[in-house]
Amino acid sequence: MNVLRSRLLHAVLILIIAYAIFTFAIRPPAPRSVLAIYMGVVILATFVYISSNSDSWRNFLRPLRDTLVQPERRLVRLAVVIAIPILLGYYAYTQAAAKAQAPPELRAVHPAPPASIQFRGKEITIQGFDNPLRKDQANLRKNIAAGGETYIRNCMYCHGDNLDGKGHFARGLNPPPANFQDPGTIAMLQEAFLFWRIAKGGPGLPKESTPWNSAMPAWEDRLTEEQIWQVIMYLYDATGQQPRRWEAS
Amino acid sequence: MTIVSVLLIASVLLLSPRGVFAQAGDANAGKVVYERKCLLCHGEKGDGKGPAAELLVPRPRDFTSGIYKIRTSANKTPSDQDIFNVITHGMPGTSMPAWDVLPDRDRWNVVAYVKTFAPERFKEAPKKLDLPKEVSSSAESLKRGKEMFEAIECNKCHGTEGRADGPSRPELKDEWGQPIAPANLTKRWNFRGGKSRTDIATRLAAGVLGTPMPAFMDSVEKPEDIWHLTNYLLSLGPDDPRYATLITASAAREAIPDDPNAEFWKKMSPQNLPLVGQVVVDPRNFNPAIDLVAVRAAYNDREIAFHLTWDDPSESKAEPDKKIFADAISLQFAPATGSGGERPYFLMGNDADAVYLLRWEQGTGVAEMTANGPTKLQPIAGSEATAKVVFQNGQYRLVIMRALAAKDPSRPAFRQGVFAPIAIQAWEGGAGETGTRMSLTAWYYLRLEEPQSNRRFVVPPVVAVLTLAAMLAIVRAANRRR
Ligand code: HEC
Repeated sequence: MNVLRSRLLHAVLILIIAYAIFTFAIRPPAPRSVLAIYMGVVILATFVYISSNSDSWRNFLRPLRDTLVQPERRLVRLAVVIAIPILLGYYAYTQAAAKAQAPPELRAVHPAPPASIQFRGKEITIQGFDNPLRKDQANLRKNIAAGGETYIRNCMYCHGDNLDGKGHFARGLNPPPANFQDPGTIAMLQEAFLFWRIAKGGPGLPKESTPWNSAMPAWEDRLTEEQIWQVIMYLYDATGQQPRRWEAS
Repeated sequence: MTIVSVLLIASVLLLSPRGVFAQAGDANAGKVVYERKCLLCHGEKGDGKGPAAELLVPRPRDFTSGIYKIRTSANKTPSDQDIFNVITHGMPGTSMPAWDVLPDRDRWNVVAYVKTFAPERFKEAPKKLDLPKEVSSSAESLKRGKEMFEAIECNKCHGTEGRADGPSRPELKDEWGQPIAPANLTKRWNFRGGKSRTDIATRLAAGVLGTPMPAFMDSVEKPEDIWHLTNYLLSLGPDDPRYATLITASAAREAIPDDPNAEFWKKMSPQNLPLVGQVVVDPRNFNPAIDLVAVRAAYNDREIAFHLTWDDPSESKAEPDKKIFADAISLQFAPATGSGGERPYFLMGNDADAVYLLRWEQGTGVAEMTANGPTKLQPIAGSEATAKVVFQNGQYRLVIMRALAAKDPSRPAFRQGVFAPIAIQAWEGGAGETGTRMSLTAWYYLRLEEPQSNRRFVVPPVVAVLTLAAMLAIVRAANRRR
């Protein structure tokens, strides 16, 4: 029999290669649960492949059957019959002796923003609203510089000098401070969404976003409306990201 | 080219000190990077007077003075590589981050630019510092190191056990007239110039310029004492805090001792939690004094005990006229964990939801309390918690005990195997910390571990035997069918 034609070998190779791709080629690494789903799909597909016709199926089973019945394979058979129970026993041991892990905190990171908020007694529209300071092109640099000052005095401790969420207090916070350099934060948010988040902070989040855990302060009482719009402009300028536009609805 | 010469070149490249790769930066290009990345702290003129300066301790460096703390040179001029390394690795324990995110080129250009703020300083070339021949650690070396530690009076500032609690601490000022705290030698991950053996030996030999930390190369008896001292310093604390992500309380069969120095507690390994400044509500605490609390916890069928260890340079009771307050610490719990993981606001609750606290205060002892925010504490009548404290060489060790069961709904019951929210707040009253000026943790989980059962010895053999039986059955079935 040609070894390369062996369906069993095909199946094993497919599974190994798929596993290697999923674990090493996906960056950032996928969570284990996702990995399990991917592998499940691959196993199913492999099964469909080897059982596509009865020849292929028999080809797949033959080496397995041979190991179980052929007298000249006695040693292999013995090794398998001893090795598999030991491996499973060891696995059971690691499971039973494992130390408990803290359960993961699940939260909606970017919940739907409110239509409008009360800011120091004034109503400010959020949905569909744009940064009013952007119209003032003449003072663009001045506003960004002022935003930088507000940032370094207030936000740097958590969000970091480099806006990467690695301020010197960040290690103590869970959830961690947002990383503005990451394409998954401000680059996919509208400026008014940020206004809401900065004004109302962690406590202003809806329940699904675990407001009780977030250390993001509410800045409403400390920063003026203008200062918040300025600091938002600084976030985009310093990271080189573009704010998202509201979809016309 | 022969293989030998290839190997030779490769080994020279690998072994050559990093200085070989030093590049002459372009100051003009450096200015652009500086103004984007450094200006907000170090100021446009390089004088360390950026808008955040007065909020930071230590303050951002003033480059116009030309004084560089971290040098590997024997004179006052740092090498370009020294400046490059500080930019690359940052200054641990301060707000100077590691800028390794910037391309090498940019960092060399910034080096060239910051030198232009004090051209005088760089007229003199850096003089190479020659460290004595390295001495590896041994019992004798440690003994000699300890002797030196006392002989050259390291303990005057750094304290008997190195926790930055020496008698001179309050008087220390830097070159710029700002109070400066000595380094806590038991937490070397915060050493500004790095924690490796060579880093430490270099700091001892060359000193930290602009601070009261002198160069000791000439004041030790023999040059190799630098290494004995280094070995001794390395023995004072762990290499890494290895912060815990979960607090586990062990099941105890015997009575739990309330003495914080009892052998029982020493045998348990610490679960370190990082504390950070409270900067959510005013007044904020940008420069917290306590950055780590080590937690040990145990319970038996009646009570639960928490053993807390943290460094504090002085034991302070309340003296409000001197702006000194009582040292304090509190363990925070959720009175009841809601379904869906809901719990009170991590910062000591809010008006809607109260947290439950086991709060200890120097002078008054421990009390059970509830809080609806950091300034709204309410003692629970008939508090039943007890505590015992030891303060020794700049360190508090405290045991707080409470009954496992809850007497009423304002107190949480501690139950085995459940993940219950826990958080910590701490105040260094001697540094003026009180009220919202505290350091704290976010919510963590506490779990009372099940007593060590024999499960892990019973389950695996059962699994193995069952699998073996199944395998044999398959082999038999296959052979019978043939
Ligand atoms: C005490 C630490 C802390 C400070 C100070 C702080 N933040 Fe935050 N911030 C956080 C944390 C933690 C989060 C993530 C949790 C959340 O979304 O609420 C966050 C989230 C955010 C978000 C949401 C990003 C997103 O992807 O949804 C914005 C915007 C933000 N911060 C802006 C600011 C600004 C601007 C300042 C200064 C005025 C600031 N933060 C100061 C801790 C802080």
